[in-house]
Amino acid sequence: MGKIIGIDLGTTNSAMAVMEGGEATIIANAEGGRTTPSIVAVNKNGERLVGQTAKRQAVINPDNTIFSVKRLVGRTIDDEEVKRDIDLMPYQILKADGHVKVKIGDKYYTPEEVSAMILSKLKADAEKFLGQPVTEAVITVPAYFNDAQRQATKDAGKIAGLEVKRIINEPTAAALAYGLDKKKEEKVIVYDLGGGTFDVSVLELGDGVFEVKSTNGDTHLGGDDFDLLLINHLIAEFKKDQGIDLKADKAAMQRLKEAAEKAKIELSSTSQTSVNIPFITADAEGPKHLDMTLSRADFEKLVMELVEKTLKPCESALKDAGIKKEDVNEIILVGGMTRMPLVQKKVEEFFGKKPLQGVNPDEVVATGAAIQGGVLGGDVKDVLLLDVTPLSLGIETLGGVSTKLIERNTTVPTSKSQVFSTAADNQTSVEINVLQGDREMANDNKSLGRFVLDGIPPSPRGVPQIEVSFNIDANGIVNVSAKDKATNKEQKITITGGGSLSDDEIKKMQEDAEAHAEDDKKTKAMVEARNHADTLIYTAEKTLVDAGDKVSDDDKKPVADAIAALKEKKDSEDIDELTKLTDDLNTKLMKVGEQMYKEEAEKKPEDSADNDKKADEETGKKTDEKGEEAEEGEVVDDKENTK
Amino acid sequence: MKQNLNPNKPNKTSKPSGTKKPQPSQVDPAQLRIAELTNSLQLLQAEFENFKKRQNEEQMSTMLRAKEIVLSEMLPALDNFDLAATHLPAELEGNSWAQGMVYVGQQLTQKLDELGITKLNPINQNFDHNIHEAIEHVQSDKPEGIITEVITPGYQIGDRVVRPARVKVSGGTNPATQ
Repeated sequence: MGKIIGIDLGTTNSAMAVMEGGEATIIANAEGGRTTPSIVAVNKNGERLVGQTAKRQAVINPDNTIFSVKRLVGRTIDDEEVKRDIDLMPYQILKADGHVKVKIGDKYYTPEEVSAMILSKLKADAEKFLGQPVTEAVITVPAYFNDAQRQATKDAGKIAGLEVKRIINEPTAAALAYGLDKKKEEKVIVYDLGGGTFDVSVLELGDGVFEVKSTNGDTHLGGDDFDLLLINHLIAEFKKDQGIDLKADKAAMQRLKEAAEKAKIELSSTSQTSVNIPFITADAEGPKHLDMTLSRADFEKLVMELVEKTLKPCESALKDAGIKKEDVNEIILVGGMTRMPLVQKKVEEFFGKKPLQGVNPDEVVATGAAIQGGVLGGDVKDVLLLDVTPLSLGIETLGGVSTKLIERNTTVPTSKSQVFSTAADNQTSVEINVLQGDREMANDNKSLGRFVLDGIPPSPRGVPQIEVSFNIDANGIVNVSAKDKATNKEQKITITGGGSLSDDEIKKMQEDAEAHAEDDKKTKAMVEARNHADTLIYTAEKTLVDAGDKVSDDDKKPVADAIAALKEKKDSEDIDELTKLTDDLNTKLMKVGEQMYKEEAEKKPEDSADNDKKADEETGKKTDEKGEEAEEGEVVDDKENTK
Repeated sequence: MKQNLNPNKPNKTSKPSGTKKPQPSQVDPAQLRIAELTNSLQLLQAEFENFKKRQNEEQMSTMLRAKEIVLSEMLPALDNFDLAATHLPAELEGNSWAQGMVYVGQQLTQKLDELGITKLNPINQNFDHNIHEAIEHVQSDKPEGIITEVITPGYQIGDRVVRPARVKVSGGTNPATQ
């Protein structure tokens, strides 16, 4: 069975979403847009266009470009809405074969067939996005749709090749998107202020069932009206200032429309914006520019009446539902216009409660439809809620450093392995100190347990390969093992109860890690610099011995001097000086190395095998008293599995 | 109206089946659970694989997307530069400062070209809904469907349209009524 997608089949724009990994994801259309204009056209070449391409040619092909067909779906020719649209719409609406039909080209289509064309494009785009066939969908409709309209929408889906598993109400979908179905008894208001229409619905939730108690609204009130008020204001101001009426200039009006929409959006997040349109028009005197500053307060004054106009339907909806404002548990905002601070403020003032936010208001209905699709498809039932590990897990390595293997907030179950080595020559055992926490130094983290792996064959430092593996199961039980890859000898430890840290303790550790982040970084950097210096001294001394007479004493002296200088400062607190001396030794050592290779290249071929073996042994480290593992640059393997 | 979202509860409108249901066979609950979990795991795995594939594709197109976003933000300024050049007053035509500004505009266009961004200036071309947006249908001597004026040029990155060119289109002698 494939995915059941959720479709918000809107009057002006449509959107779709699907559940992935327990979350609703908006499906972008083929053009990369998260919404698709609900427009269908047939051009002079007989080509059918849907979405953005149809919109782009609407002006030159108005007779054959069908928009807002949702207003006609499931209606008869005698419906008031249809009669009004016959007069308003540039395309032909008529009765044919007993049905309401629209004329496109020389053919007649029912509104369901036109909706099916939109759904077909959405289906095709969803299949491209998901990389799999899509045959099932949940489609949303307004709460006030009657049976005929709902059936017509279902028919549209069928024509498009979609089995419509469920028709759900738009406000219900919005409530689902906010997870309100998880609650027991709720009275929910859905305030939907979109591009062209305003709808308010009162929902009552009980026993997992949403009941639409009432609906109200204004079918000709939306974001477009807000834009129009602003555009008219700008035109009026420009006329006052320049004496020119921009209404007659289509090109100017296009730019004005875009600028007004942009300003409206900006004023939702800033208190002031500038509307700046150079060369908006020209007259005998030359080019004219529009340059105005608009404050949020000015804009709010302009549109206040429109916002207040939405409150009367809210009152009516409450009255029809028989509930009081105080009884309302949650308010959900739907539609782009609800981003406007004034709208949010008025809604909060009216209901005496802050509305829910968090889900993109343009996408909330499609999101809810996808969630319903997920429920029907079995995606979202009794799902194993996966946990995360709240603190990082790791082991103690050379210098008392805490080396993380599993980062905090990793979803469990998970496993990770990393290969470490020994810190000292002939080190035959390693102690694994399992740590929990995000501090850089082992002492500052919590030790969950320790164990020892012994029986490591004596070898130079850095040669043995000890694979340390962490495994956390879905219940949070931690298994840590250490295995010597040479002998396959293994030891392990199991830690239950996550180290028995309480939520408060976990929170404190997280806060401590953040508070000490900078200091910890410096401490760790110091330790690592010392480790690096140790390693280099060991390597350099070994190299000088191995070089024998291949390198002259004069050439060896700079290295020996650099070793001495570094040994002297090895325990200093001055990281810059330590780094400088380490780099100096490194540079001088490289020169010796070059010479050795040069010498080698000039020698006979049978000698090269011996030299390669010696070069491999140059990975050893200085003896450490505790015989702890050295964390590496020499990590050979780094496997990660998420179960 | 009530909306039942529980897939296990039938809808009010669902009609009862006319056929007699067969007796359920005895199925080991453990086997059933194994089958259920296997199915869920396979679905999750497949979902993950598809997600990874999409992520890889998206990563490859991130650079392109970043270019698109930057270009989209710059478009108004680019448009205004074009307009400024178009409206160069006659008395300033010989003016070296004005000429310098025109060169700056040309330099911008050249830079866009080097970045793989194509400017669409489709005057006298056939209208193409894939890359043009009609703002007005005008009466004209030019054949129907020919672009008579470019209000703002379009921009394309590869074959992806960042913004269609906004144009006036000839309706011949009988353009469509608005």
